[in-house]
Amino acid sequence: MASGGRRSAVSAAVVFVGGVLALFLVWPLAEAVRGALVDPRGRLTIAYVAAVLDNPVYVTGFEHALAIAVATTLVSVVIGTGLATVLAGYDFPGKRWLRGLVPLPLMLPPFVGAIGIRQLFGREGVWNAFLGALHLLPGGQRVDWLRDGRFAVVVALTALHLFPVVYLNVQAALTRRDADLEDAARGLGCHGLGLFWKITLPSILPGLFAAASIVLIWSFTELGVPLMCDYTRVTSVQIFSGLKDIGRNPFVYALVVIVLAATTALYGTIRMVLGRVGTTGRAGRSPRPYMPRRPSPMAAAAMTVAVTAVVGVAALPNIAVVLLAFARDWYGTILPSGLTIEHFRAAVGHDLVVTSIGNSLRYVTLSTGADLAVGTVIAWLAVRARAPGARVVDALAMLPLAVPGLVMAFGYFAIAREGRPLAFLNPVKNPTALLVIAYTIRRLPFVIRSASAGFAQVSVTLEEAAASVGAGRLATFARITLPLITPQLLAGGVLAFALSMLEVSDSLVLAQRQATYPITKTVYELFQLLGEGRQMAAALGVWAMLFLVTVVWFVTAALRGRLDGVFRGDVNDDSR
Amino acid sequence: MTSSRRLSPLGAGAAVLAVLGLPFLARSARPGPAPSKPAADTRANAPETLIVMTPSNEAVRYELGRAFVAYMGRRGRKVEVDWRAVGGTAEIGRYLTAQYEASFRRYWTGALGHRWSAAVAGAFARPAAPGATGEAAEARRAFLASNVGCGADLLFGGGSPEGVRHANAGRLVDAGVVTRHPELFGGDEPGAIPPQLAGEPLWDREGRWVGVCLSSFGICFNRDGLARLALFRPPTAWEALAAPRYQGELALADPTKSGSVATSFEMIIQSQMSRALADAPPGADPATRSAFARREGWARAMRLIRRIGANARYFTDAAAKIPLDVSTGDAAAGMCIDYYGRSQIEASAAAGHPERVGFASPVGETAYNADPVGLLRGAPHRELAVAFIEFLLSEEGQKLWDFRRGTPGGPDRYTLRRLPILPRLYDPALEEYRADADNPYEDAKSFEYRESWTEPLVGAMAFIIRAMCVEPETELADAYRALAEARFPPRATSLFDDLALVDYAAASGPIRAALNAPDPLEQAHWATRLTRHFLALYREVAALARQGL
Repeated sequence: MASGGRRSAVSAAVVFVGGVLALFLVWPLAEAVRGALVDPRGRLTIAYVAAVLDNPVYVTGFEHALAIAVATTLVSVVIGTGLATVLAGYDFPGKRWLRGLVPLPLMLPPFVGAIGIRQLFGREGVWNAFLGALHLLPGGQRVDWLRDGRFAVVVALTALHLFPVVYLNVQAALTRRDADLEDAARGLGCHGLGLFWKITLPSILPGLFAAASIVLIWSFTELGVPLMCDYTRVTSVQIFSGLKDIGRNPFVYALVVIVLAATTALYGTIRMVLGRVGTTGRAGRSPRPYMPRRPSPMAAAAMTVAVTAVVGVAALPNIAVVLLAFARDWYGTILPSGLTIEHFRAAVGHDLVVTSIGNSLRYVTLSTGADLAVGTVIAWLAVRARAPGARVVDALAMLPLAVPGLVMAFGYFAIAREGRPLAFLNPVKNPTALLVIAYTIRRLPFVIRSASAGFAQVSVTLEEAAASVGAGRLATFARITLPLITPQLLAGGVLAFALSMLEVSDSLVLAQRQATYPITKTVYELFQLLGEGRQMAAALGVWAMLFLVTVVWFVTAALRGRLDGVFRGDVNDDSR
Repeated sequence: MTSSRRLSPLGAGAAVLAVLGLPFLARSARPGPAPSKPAADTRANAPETLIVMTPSNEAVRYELGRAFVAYMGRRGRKVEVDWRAVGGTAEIGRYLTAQYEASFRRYWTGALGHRWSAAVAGAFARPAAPGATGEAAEARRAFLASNVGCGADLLFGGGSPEGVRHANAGRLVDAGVVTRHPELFGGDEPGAIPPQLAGEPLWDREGRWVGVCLSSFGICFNRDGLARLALFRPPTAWEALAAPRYQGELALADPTKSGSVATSFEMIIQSQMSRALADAPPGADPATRSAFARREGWARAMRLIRRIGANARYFTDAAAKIPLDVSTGDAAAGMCIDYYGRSQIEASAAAGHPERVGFASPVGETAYNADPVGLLRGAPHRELAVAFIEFLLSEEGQKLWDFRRGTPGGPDRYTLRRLPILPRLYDPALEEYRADADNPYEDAKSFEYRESWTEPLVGAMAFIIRAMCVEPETELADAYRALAEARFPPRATSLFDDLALVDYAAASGPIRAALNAPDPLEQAHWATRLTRHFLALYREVAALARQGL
């Protein structure tokens, strides 16, 4: 009876989330890419996809995108895992502040980050000025860093932007691993890298899978960085360029279809390679929380220097944006020549800003809440319930990472047009519902992957124990499972919140009236102002950064005692 | 661990509130006029609303919206402008196309009771052939006779090619302004706006759109960048940009992304055709001379565009990126809309460096393009929309485009630096108020535009430039570099200048036909064929040049 009830609850949940994804992901996507699979007479065809594969420029673009994705994922995993291991495993001077700074690279609107990177590595940027001051550039020459050696630059910049995704997921996994296992291994003489490889790594694999799959797909479809480096022979840039054509472009939607297929294949591959994602915690008891160790003073100092270097390099675009926002002029010099608060005052005090902040808060709070709810259900179905169809739903929910924002935005328009069943969502009248849906769907993968890692790491025997003493399923979930996976949910939730706050494509297309603009659309509008737009956008970027940092701070502080230190200063202190 | 090291929720909450309060603080500290009220007004005397689709930036929207509200206020009417911004020209085009298709489909299947088909969908927004019959022609007639709409009143901005495109599709309708104002559209009337300027239409004879201001493409340059390349004279003609020293230094606009950019490339072709006409066999009859000019001018222009393209850093869809990259020194020079260039110079001057950025208009090689406003079919507030068009064409509206901020009748927050379309605004008496001394009506006299020579080929030209320069950019740049390093050896150079697949005959024949074919696959096959051809060509040129051949 109970089992039958459970089965029907699981089936209902699968139908519910499947329905949500069908309605708000598959349908708009199908509307958007229909042109790739239907000929002018309305018949199904693969001729357009074949035409793309026949064109050498698009094939090369695809190869470049794949190479960027693999290289970026490797670099991000090394940096993110290394940082998380050091920060979660050891106490050293400055750790508390350094830990708080790690997510900074994710907290800039994409095009504002690009402004900062150009300021650093442009021809008249900081790095050339620095080399010039050291007389390393003969005859006043300027190295074109962003264009020469574009592949390495794109990989480095994308990895420095995305490694916090790995860090947050691995960090959450590390705080949940079983200290007894490592102590036992040490007792048997296993130390250092051997210990990490044989004991630590297997226990954090779910978190690593979560992060690696997101970074792989994200970097495969990353648009901003290759666009900024004028790296045009990359699939994402080719799609973006095709979407901007004023005439018809027979390739663009077929390219989207190919990217979708490739993404699904990539996701499947990484799932196979990292394997055992579905496995749940091994121990039949609550794991003993891990306590950071105190290294020797020399080692601690080395850790401080190394972590500062990584975090500092990754935060360089943020620093550049802050300086640019207050620069009177910054051209060919290491630091700005003259400071002013005029840009900041003009941008942050602009009429559009106050309204758009309120709008963004409304949209993003709702969408993050929806992400946490739907994402947890999907993760539970895939990892815990192992429901039939749950794997399909799980894989489906990763697709938003692969779909160009502009394609999805026009898909949403199509399903909410007058005369359609969802016309009541028409964004022209009020885009709130559709923007919340769009943000929710686009950021769902972050919550699902984090929650899945959480479920995979928490021992199912704890839930069974609760059930054996009479706790109902909801009570077990609320009192046992949820507290245990909260670090992972928080990691995913914060990413979803920050990235929704900074979402560009849906915001640009779906919010048409000034009264409904979210903050990113306002940043974009001010960026368009001729002459001073760059510094106005930088100023609003600074505001967005401040806001996100303080929100993370507040969430962390408010939930203190219920977490095991995903973002906050000291694991040791609060786990007691 | 002491509690002082813990994060305090109270402190963190206060920090969030402080950050949220910053915009209010900055707003209260801002000098100048009080901020405008938000659009929503729920009082009983709620204003009439005008809905305008536009790619124009906030500066244009702010100044025109503010002035129109005041203009109507003096006529006893309370109005507000609801600007609808869905992105740039491409996004607006897609949005309007989708909205009108959905509206017409409802009308066709609902009110008219017909069946929707691919043929109807493909035909209702395309001009029908004269005397056409059948379902497709009926759909076209039904659309043109209908009042189906997209919920907006006006389309404003995007360049005259957008006005022409949406008017031809039937999405724009006659606002009656052209017939009601012979003093403005009377052809030879003194002070009237001519129908064309150097071949470019300034208003639609059927009244579906009218131009309200003018812009052109020129060359913006960074003097530090030029000095670094040992180029001591600023480029003032397109040909100057073909110099191999500009390798990787040019920021160019993509003609497949904007009709205005395509027009400026068309002007390069027109000017080369004019020069070729001078070289035509003197004794030949006019038809032979004209054919020679078209064939030879096209070839010269394509070779020139290929050399300029070989120097490109990129071909962008974002016109504002070009002056920005030039001003930051990432590009030494770029192809730039005039008011973007002027605004960037002003910004550099404001930062204390007026000498850093410059702008030159290639005289006789550039067209003036009108920025249009047009009444959308099914406009819900037609009468107010017409009033807005008339305001834009009034002296009061026209002064906003180029009068300096704070001058009598000028803008109050942003100097827009765009050229008004009303000829009388170029009266010397107004010069003291204007930000720019340019007079497009004088400048354009140096240029003779022959519409039939290039106008039908603009689409094919953009398609060819994409296949010839944009797609194979790496191989093209490499070939040109190899040629320059080998001092242009004859065999390699002759191969580089080969235009066999994309000469005038091919462009006006099979390529143009493929672009107009109902099935986009034909276009795709041509694109692939040309791309393969040029990739192989440039690789061979580079190999030959490196052998000194």
